[in-house]
Amino acid sequence: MNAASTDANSPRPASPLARVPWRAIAIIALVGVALRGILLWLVLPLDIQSDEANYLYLALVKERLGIYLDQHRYFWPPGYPWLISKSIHAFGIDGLNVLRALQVALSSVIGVTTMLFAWRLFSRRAAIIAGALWAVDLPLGAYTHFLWTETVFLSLLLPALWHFVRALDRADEGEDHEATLRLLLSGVLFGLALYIKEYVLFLVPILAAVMAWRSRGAGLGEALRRATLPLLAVAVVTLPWTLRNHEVYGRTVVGGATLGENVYVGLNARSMNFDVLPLRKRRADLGLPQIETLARSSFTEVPAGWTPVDRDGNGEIEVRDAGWDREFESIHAIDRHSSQLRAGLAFAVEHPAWTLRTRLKKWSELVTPLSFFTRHQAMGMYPEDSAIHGALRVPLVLLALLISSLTMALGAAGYFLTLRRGPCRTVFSVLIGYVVLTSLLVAMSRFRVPLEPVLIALSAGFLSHGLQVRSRPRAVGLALTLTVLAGLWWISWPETVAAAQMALGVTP
Amino acid sequence: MKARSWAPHILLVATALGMVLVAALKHTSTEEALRIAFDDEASTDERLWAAHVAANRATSRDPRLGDTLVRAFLAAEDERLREGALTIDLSRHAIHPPGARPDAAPPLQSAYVYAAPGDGGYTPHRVRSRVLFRRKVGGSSVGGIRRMALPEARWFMDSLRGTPLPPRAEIDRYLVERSREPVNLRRPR
Repeated sequence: MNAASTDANSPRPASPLARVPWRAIAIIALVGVALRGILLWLVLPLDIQSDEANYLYLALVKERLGIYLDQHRYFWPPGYPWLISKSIHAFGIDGLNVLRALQVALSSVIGVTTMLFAWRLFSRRAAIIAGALWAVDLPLGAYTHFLWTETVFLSLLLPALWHFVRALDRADEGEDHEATLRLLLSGVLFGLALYIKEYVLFLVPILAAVMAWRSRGAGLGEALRRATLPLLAVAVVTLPWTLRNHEVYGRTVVGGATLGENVYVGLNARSMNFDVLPLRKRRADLGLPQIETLARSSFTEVPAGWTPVDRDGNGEIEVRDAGWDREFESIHAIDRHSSQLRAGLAFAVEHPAWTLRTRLKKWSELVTPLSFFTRHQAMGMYPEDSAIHGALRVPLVLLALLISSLTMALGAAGYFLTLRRGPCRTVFSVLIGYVVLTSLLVAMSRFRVPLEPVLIALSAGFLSHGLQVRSRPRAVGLALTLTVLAGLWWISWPETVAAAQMALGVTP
Repeated sequence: MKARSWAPHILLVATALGMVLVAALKHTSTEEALRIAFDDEASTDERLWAAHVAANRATSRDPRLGDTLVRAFLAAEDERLREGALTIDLSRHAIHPPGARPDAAPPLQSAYVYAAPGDGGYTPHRVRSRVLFRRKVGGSSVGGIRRMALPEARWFMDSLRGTPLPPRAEIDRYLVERSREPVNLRRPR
């Protein structure tokens, strides 16, 4: 990288040639990792919950029988269970804590890339503010002690996006050699990310199209050369797993297969809010009304004329009874995809008003200020004799709620008022659109995680430089976005308040 | 490498073709997989892998897998083979008696897992069997009920590492408590 430097606190976008403030970034990353390490120390011993148990089950089977199973309803990519199996193979069940410690260390990658994005887009000052926001971002940091895939996934996804953006930069500058290397690296990282979550499967072709479009000035051949490189790299990295799936299932599966079950959950009569559903048992224990009874029924109630399926045949309609049932004839999730997709789409088309209002509910669940950290607190998952359950409980939950809300609002301001046009804005827009659109099916705070670093970088830009782009359409865009955000918060407000009260330990 | 070289593309395509070729050469037919799964002379790993392949390539429930192979695995001397009969692969091929509820658990595996423990109490194999059968994802029709909790995972790993398991009374108490947890409240799906 060229040693040329810009003004340290320049409000202009940092030049691609500017020197990266590595020392500041490294120090902040270390502080963030230390905070997550302290958090981990505070939360142990920690039981497993929900999907964590399923990942561990898969790892135990791998450890004992040497085969990787699907989950009947889902077919998850193998990367995370593989990591767990390696940890418990080496350290016994305490290997789970070793993996948590590894995730704490890996989170530095998330912090560093978040700061790099803020530096690339705005300035050194923005990078430092982004680092500070990331360091105290409790909803994001808590994933380092959860056995969910988010930390590992983000530590691959963000560098993949970073190298993609830098490839766009370098291609624009005519540095084709470096652009080629970065595209290759980006594709490899996207491919590895697909071993953790298949979520990005359709993001890569979209980004490739972005690359082709932005390279159109270099000629059709060059545009194709650049665009196909990350696609080919992804294909090669994921090919061993794809071929293995073809051998085992006789079907082609890249990454995993979760669409069928997500359609069953997301395009079905019952509203399922996964930030509050696991609180049912605790609310029952506490004698509190179930949260779904508090929800605004306009956005959750079942469609008119709905005939529920009594799944267990006990004559009573329960929460688990849905508008249409899973397809039981197929042997596994891979074959269940198409029929469940058809059933879900048919249900949506049959009930258009229900489809519309429940999609608003999904988006509301995507932008909820709740997080899995507040969910864990609300469930009473943390050790009762720990400070995180005692003296630190209220301030930490308030911090988590505040930082989730603030980064969404400030991130929107940064996007519309501070972020200038350029390749990075294009990539951020694609990612935001991708997350928002995929959340139309199933949404929860966890699905917002890929956006959190982006929101942090944008928030930091706004906090550093405020209004940089004077444009009426952008001002209108921000006003609309904030209005929609407030409206979406309002939709799930009763559940949010009830869950937050449980997290704070102040239930009525 | 030239700045605008197609060499990386060519290399990647060649690598992909190489992997496809290797996969094609190593391919096992479904009939061959079935043969190996039943072959007493084959190694445990070979039989487990073959059963995995045959069970997942099927497009409908196959009595050879859900009944005959399950019986063969459960009767094997090797504990790993017996445990292999309890996973999702063979459980979803279970053949239920007429009139069984739609969510009834696979009968052969259920009978095996819930057979009364002998005087020796919970052997490591018995603990693993219970975890593998009951804590799987997929619902009661494949034998799964309630997600795994940490103590069970710890016992599972301890059993593999030769660490003594807790006394029978403690395991019984734990299992009874777990069985009393209302499923619908824990996981309303």
